[in-house]
Amino acid sequence: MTTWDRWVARLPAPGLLNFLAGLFAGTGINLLTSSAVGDGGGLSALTVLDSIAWVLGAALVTVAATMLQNAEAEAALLDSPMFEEPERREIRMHQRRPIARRAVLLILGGLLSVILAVVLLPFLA
Amino acid sequence: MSVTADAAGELLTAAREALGSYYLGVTGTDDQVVRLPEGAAADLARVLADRAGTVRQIVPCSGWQDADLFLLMAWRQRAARGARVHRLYLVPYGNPDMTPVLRERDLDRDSRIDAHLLHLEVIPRAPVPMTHTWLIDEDVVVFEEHGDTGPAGWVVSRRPEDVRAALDRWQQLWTNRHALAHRPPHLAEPLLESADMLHSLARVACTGHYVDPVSCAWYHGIWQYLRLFDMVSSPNWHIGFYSEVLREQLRGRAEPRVLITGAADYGMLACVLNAAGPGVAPDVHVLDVCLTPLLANRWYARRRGTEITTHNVDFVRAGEQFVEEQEPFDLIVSDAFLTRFPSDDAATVVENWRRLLRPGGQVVTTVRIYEEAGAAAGATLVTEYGMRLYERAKNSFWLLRIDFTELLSAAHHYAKRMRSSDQLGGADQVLDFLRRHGFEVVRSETASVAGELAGCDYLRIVCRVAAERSD
Amino acid sequence: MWERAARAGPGATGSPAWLRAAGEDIRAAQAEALGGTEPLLTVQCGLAGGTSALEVRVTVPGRPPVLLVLAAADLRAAVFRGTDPLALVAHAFVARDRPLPPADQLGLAPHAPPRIPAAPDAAGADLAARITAALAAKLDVVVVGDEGSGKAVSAARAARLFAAEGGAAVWIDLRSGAKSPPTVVWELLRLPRHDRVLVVVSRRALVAGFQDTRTIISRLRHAFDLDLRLLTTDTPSAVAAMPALYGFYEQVPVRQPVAMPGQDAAVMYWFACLGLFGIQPLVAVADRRYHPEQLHRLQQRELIHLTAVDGKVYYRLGAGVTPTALVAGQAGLPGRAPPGELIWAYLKMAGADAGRAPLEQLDLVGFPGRDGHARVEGSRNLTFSWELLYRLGEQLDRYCATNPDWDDNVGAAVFAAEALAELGHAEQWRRVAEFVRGRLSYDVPGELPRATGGPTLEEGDFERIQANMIAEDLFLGGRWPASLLGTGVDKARFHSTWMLGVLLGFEGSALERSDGRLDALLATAEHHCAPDGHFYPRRVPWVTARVVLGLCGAGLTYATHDVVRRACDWLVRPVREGGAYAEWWKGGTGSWNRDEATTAMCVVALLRAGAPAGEEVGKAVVWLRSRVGEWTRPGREIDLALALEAILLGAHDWRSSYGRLLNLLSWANEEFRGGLRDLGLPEGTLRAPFAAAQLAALVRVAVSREAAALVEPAPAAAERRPARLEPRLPATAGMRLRPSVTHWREVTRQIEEQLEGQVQRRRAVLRRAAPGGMPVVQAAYDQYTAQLALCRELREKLRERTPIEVIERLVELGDTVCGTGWNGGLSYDDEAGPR
Repeated sequence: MTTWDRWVARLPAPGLLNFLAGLFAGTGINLLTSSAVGDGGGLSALTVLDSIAWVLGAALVTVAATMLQNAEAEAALLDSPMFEEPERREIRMHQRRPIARRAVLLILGGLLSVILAVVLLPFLA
Repeated sequence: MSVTADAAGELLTAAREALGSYYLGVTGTDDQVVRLPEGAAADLARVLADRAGTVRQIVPCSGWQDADLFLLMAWRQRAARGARVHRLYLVPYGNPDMTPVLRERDLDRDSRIDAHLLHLEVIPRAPVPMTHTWLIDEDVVVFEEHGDTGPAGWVVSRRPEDVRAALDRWQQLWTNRHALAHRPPHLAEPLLESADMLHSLARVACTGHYVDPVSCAWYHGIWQYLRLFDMVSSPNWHIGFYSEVLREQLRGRAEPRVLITGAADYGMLACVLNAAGPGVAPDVHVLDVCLTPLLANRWYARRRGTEITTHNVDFVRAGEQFVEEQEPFDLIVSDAFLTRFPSDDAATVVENWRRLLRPGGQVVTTVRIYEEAGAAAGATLVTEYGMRLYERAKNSFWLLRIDFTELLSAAHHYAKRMRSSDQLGGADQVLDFLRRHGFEVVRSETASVAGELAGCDYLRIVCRVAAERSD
Repeated sequence: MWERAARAGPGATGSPAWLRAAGEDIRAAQAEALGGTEPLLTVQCGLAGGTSALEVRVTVPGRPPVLLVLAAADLRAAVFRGTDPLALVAHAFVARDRPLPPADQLGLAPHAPPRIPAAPDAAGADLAARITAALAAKLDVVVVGDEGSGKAVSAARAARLFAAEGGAAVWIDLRSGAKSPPTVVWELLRLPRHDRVLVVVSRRALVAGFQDTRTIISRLRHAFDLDLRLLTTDTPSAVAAMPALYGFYEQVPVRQPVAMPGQDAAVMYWFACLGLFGIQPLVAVADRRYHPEQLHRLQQRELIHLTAVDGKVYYRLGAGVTPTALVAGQAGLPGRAPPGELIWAYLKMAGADAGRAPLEQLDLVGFPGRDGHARVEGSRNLTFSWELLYRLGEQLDRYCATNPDWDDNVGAAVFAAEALAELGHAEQWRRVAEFVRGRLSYDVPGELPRATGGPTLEEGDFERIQANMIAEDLFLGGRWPASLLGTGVDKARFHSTWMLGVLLGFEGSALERSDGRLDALLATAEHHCAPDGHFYPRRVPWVTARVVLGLCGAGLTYATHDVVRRACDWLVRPVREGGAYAEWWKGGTGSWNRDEATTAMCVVALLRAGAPAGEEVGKAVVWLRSRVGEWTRPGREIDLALALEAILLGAHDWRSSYGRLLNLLSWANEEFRGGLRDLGLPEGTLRAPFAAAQLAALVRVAVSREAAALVEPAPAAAERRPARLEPRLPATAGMRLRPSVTHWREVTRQIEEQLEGQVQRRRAVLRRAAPGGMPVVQAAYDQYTAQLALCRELREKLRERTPIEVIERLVELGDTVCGTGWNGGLSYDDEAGPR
């Protein structure tokens, strides 16, 4: 197994990604809505930007999760109780490999976006 | 599978039919003869004993079981009630355990049975089947019948030919009973006991030998069986010579050191111990390249209540080292050993002998001599050997545990493979050879023997370490 | 080719429309190759869903299709290069889901068979006929012969015969290397429908190429259930070196004709037969047999040479002449007697001393041309047997000179005459024959033999036989109807029927034939054979056996004579069905011819007649051997002689009888030397002459069997039956499947279905992966595919009697696929007992 394959095998489960995406999206939208209705003097450009960063992160992670979920579904179609565990692993890997690069990029992009959003937080006050 | 009561009954009826069929096969339908299976002997003795007036019995003495003892007792009781019972105990060659036989004979005499013990020669002049035989009132003969394998059956026959043959055999033995009684074998060797043992042992213990570098099991395993039927060269062929010479050498010394080199079994040891006599406790060492004969010697020695030392040594290749490790011997005895080797190895053997002896020590040995070059054994000789064994063994092979066909086959194998070296040449050449290697000849004589495949001559030698070598 | 795909244009490559067009091109290529006839394998094309590939289905009616996937790239390359579409399909079939070879290596071409000479020589025609016969019986056949022996031509001739009989033949030359397997498929795709197809593979120089071709053929058989036969050629050393490859092939050896004039070939055959035993024939004997000119010609050609030893002159074979090969090459040709017969005839002609010398050599050294244990296994004791037999012959001569009528015992006289005939002692035979033919009248067809001038001595024996039967009845109770009880038996008829058998043997072996008498006896036998096959009395099988032996002595067999056939069938029919067989044969006459003697006689009769009674005979021989303690008892020499003959003819280790043969010879010599006496034993007066006749026959049979064993291939090279099949039955060998072969096939089919499932699931997965993209799944797929092929192959080999190798492989496969316990309720056995 190559190093890349090892990383691909360790990609987070779609469910986890979806959960994180939900968190990020929630944070972003909350930030927007609470700034809009709060006593802080209304929406600043930085707040909007920060919110966008959160939501963007969530979106990217969601897309990655969807891609991985599709791959799992495909693998499940091909899988069979007749197969041995190494074969099953190979089938799953085979379905993941084509979308792995994009998924990794999306997850990384999402994380970056979230990091940016976090970095901007102190400047919002 | 369940069966109804009727079906079970049918099966039992069928089983009885099978039993009837079997018994018909055993007994036959000859109106002159009744055949019974082995286990019926006791019933036979019971019913016949009541009806017999005069009984002449031939009783083979080997490996008695309780069933055999019962038969003896049954007739003994009949004799005590008035029947006239004459009994001849046949002691085959190779069965020196006389204790039970003597006991039975004494009991017979107490019951007024006219009983005698006969020692059969190794090759009886007239063939005597080693089977129980009862000649009843000269009307009927009862005898054991053996096939090649399996248990013996009993035959009760009124056929004139069978009765006549039994009577002739009886007359012949009875007439010679006194002579045969006083003719026990010179050497009491329990060959019938040890032959089967060595046959099994050889398969495990035999490794290589001068006759076969791979395994000598074909030789040692069959050896004692062939001795039982006098088919191989053994000290018995020279028993008078060995007895006389060994007695001379051994008596008068407290603990003579004796070395036996090369021994197919304990035959030579038996000669030595016999000759030593009471009061002499020789320190006997036996040397051979194969474990089997050494174990046989040890077994025999313990039976005789003595101990020996065995040496598992190749006397040719490791003889020198053996010489260095040993104290000198008074006497070296070896039967037909030198012709196992080509002449250069025989020279090594003789040199080792000389070095092992103390000054004045002696070698007693026999050597097969070839006045002209030895010929390879022709197929006819080999097969005649097998036929001879068949004739000798067919009357007693059931005393042995080995299968009869296997015995004949192993003998054939032995006859084809056993070789004797003719390189030492004739009598003069052998004596010269010994002298060249530092011996002086004390006594020598040639003797003709029947031989294994064909008649041959042996030189019987006593020689002593010379003061100076003659080369 | 590829017109439609080309018409679609380069831009459309890979598009569904283009793929469809390519598919149509493939179908069109097949239609063109077939010229409108129905194909053997139908090709259908369609789009492989979801991928840019063409799915090709190769089908036969009633079988699931084989699915192949042709990637667009491969199709494109084929179109570009103008590769035959069917070749592409063939490569795809061979490669399965592996990448196809490079495009430039996809081209295939038909292979041409060798030119067949217009007029075949006799040997070539014979070989082609034998190949054809082998192909009719077996799927895989190999023609075995040295280089240049004409194997390929004969194979081509056989292929032509195959095609002439309605089959189709495909020729594959392995010189094309890796293309051979796809060529097979390609040829089949272009073949019209036939019931049988033969693939001839020649120049099997490359094992790898052959193995791949063999694998493809196997796949084709299993995938399409085709009757696809394989014929190949190879050298004897190659066949011997690869038992794993040729294990189940039918081997057809090329018999090298002896390149010499017909008569010279016959003479060399005689020399070669003697040469099997290392016998160098005396010049005096050879000159009596053949014209000196012939012998001189052979000397000039250095096929034989003169040699002098101890003042006698012999012929010896030339340096280049191998007796075994020469005999094997001519065996079975018209006018060629079996080697044993010629050797025996020579020994008799040469006399005691001249016969002894070569046998003595054999005894000590063993058979020339054999190695190891096989060299000496059979040669033991031949010299002494010959010598004792010769002496016995002299004793018999002396006895017959003074007592040719054997004290008016016709039975004894007849047996003595048979012994004299066997040994070739014509003068004494004539004396005894004169007595027999004068004392009995048996020249009226349909009438049983009868004595002229009062009853003969052995007729009195039948009073005693009757007494034995009565005693047996008393013992066993009422087992027979009244007419067959001892009290009811017709002694005269009993004796006459027995004498019929005895006389048949006498006249059949007569040194001076009396055809009128023999024909009359044959007619009598036909007349007196009961409808169910027995001879009177039904209770006594040894009478029927004696008649069968007599008929066989007259040259008749189960296959050629109705009476022999009916009598043999009766002998092997179970008692409860009115026959005589009840695991062995019971005498029916108490102590006179006990069960052992009766069984031995019946066994010998069945074997000599060539009756299909392998199982019954095998079991009876085993029983007979278990009774050795009985028939070796003193006074039972007739039983011993009969049992030895049964073992010599019927047991797998027939040489085990040699030791006792010698003992019996020795006994017989002693009997004659000591003067024959009637000891009151059953058949007492017959013992010695009967034993003499048996012994002469036994030694001759031993010589024949040894000679035949020498001509058989040496065990290491030709052993295909596993050593565990003991005892070897005279009929077909193998394990008997229990409860039945049908059960075994059903269970094997279940294994097959499981494997098919495994294979199909993985194929579906691999179809969606790029080649090499899923090595683990691929490996599992290959493994299951191989197991599936093996399972199918083994299922086809299941028969009533199946080789143990097949069974063991199947059990191992079943354990692997289904786990242990899959074969509950199944078993197999041979005579040794169940497994």
